[in-house]
Amino acid sequence: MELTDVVIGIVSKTLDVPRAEVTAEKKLVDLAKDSIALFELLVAFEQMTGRRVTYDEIARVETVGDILSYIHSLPAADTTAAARVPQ
Amino acid sequence: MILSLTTCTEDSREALRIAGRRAARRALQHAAASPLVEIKRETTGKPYGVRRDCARPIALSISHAYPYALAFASTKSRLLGVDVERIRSFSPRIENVFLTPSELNWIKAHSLESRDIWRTLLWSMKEAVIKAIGTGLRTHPARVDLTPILSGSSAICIHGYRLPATVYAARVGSTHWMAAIALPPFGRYTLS
Repeated sequence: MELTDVVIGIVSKTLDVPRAEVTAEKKLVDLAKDSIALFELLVAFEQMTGRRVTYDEIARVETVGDILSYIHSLPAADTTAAARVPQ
Repeated sequence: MILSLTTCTEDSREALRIAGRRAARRALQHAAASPLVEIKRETTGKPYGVRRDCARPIALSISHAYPYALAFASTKSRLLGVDVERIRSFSPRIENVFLTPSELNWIKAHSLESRDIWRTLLWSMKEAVIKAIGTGLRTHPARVDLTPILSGSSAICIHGYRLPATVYAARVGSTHWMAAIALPPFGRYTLS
């Protein structure tokens, strides 16, 4: 499965929104029902990549596309682990 | 310090945003003792108010969770945070991740069936704190320790620093918690 599909699947499942609604330009605050859901998404990606998301990294993430850019910017070992995460 | 709570009949982001502004305007007017107030935003997005007839800023924080919108304003304290949160269940993935060990013990002292109610309260208070310091989720909620408050002190700990804090928390109906926190101005924080 492609990394982009994995990421979209995690956003869709964690925020409980249909996959079709998870598009690159969508803001996470518009998809999430509340701040707890956003925090769960953050934890999901930390577990997926096996690394702590830093202050600077979170500050740059606003949309689904920003998550994709962030995940694609990680070292190959991290993203390989990410792609193995079951849906 | 003024808290203003209002309700909204439509569950949409736009309707809640409008209700939030209505609550904010009312809180600002009471805090400033003037109807001449405006809501502005810092470059970080954090809202604040101003009286049109004088440049002095009024601290402001806004939150909404359908059907409620809540605003907190003060001319005295600069660091305000407010949160209103629907009482909800927490997935096993995060139910303990945002708590400190002593907060977790506090939760465990409650009955199993009531724990999500108390978890939501702690989340709401932490959310109010991280809004007050202006970082939002860039500060991990577990770095905010509410143990002093839970044991009766008017203080919280952020990144290990103990700070005096004015805290107000209450149930809103049977479905929501609200929390409001005012912190004194402080120096630099190490965010990690």
